[in-house]
Amino acid sequence: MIFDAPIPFREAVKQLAARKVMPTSLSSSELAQLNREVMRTSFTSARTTLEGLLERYKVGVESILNPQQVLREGATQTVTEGMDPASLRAFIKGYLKEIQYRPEEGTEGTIKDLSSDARINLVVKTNVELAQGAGKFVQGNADEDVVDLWPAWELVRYEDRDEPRDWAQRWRLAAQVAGDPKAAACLGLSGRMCALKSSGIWQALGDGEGGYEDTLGNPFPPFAFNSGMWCDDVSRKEATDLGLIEEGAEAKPAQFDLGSLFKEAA
Amino acid sequence: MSVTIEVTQDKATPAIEKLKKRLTPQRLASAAGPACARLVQRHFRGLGTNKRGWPSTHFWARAARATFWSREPEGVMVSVNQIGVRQRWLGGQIKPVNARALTIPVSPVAYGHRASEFPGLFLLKTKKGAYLAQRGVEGARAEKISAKLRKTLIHSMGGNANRRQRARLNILFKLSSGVDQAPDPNVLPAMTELSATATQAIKEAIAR
Repeated sequence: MIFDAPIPFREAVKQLAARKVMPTSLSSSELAQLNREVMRTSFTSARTTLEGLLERYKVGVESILNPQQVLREGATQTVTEGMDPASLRAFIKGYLKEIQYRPEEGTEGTIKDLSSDARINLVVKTNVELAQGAGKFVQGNADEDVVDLWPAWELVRYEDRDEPRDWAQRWRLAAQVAGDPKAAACLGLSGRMCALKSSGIWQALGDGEGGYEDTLGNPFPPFAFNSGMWCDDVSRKEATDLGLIEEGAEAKPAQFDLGSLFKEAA
Repeated sequence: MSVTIEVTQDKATPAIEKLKKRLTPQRLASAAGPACARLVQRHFRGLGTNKRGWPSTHFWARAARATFWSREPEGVMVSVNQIGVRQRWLGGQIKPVNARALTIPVSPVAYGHRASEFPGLFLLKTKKGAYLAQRGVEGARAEKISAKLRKTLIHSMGGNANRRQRARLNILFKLSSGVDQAPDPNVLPAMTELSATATQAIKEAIAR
């Protein structure tokens, strides 16, 4: 194993690079109405018309995704350099101070205040996770052998929440809309939210089927803003044991144009 | 004596060809890569939150999401692209860069934040060392600060807002010229565990 030269998560970095900065005055619910492909290839944030701010976010998110090895002056060993969410937050606050940004009266410290911790944390977290989620989605679906040996995903909680959203209920509704009784049965029988990669349940979860308005429109995690949920790979043996696929049956990738994730926005 | 064997139906060749297809380096990497990456991700998720019980920055969940695998000429590489993971694993010195001192959080309010995010910080020198502190709101009020700055102070304090508002002084960071962090081999799963996971995944791929 090599530890001193990290390999970039190519798919995630490439997906982020393809996303074009899109200043907008639209709210998050209005943005959700836009064409999914436009949203997937845009780097935007609700009611953010400051292009310079979005550019800085994009640079920072890339730095989080893809830290670099550098040899500092006088040192004999390289160190990893890059941003973390805290340093990016400080960077963004510094920029907003520089341009003398002032939040609207009465919105100070709220999610509508572009300089608030809550707002910056959400933008950073969502965009880092979107790139990582897209990268994982591409890596899990693009290769025939990977799909054959790892034909399913499992929706799992990566981060605890004080008031977690009811993902089991979302799962059941999404399974119903996607017409995937095996996914619903898997939850009922094993308590696990597993489904084949080819199932429509992933897009249904991202679309918020059942009336959820916090979703991001993608068939890959994080599915919804600040969800704390992620996907793990499920092996063929596990998928067979869970009743998702017959032994020896052909596994299929997601019905999704993976190339569309890397097309630069018009 | 001579024996003549006539092969009328060759079942061996297709079976061998099928097996050969399953034994390509690419396919074996496709078996072992996701298996090892998943093991590392699950391990990270099991590392829990910070020892002090402060509000979590979800460091290990972020590390799990930053974990991925790739095919390499020698086999498979699992990478964790997150600042801080290698430091925790291998340990070593941390020295200030572009600053005269490191700022070590000593309060849940400061944890996961940079000193530059707190307005009105001042240096407090004690026998135990130097600290960056922020006046509590009462203290700030006594100095007749503007209503706007007071509001900003309350927002930036977080934590137990009532207690912090009553406090005269909030000590947020300790200043340090550098730290020497001990390595923690438990940051990653044991090599034997990684090896066993890869072997099992390869066995399943061959048996498929």
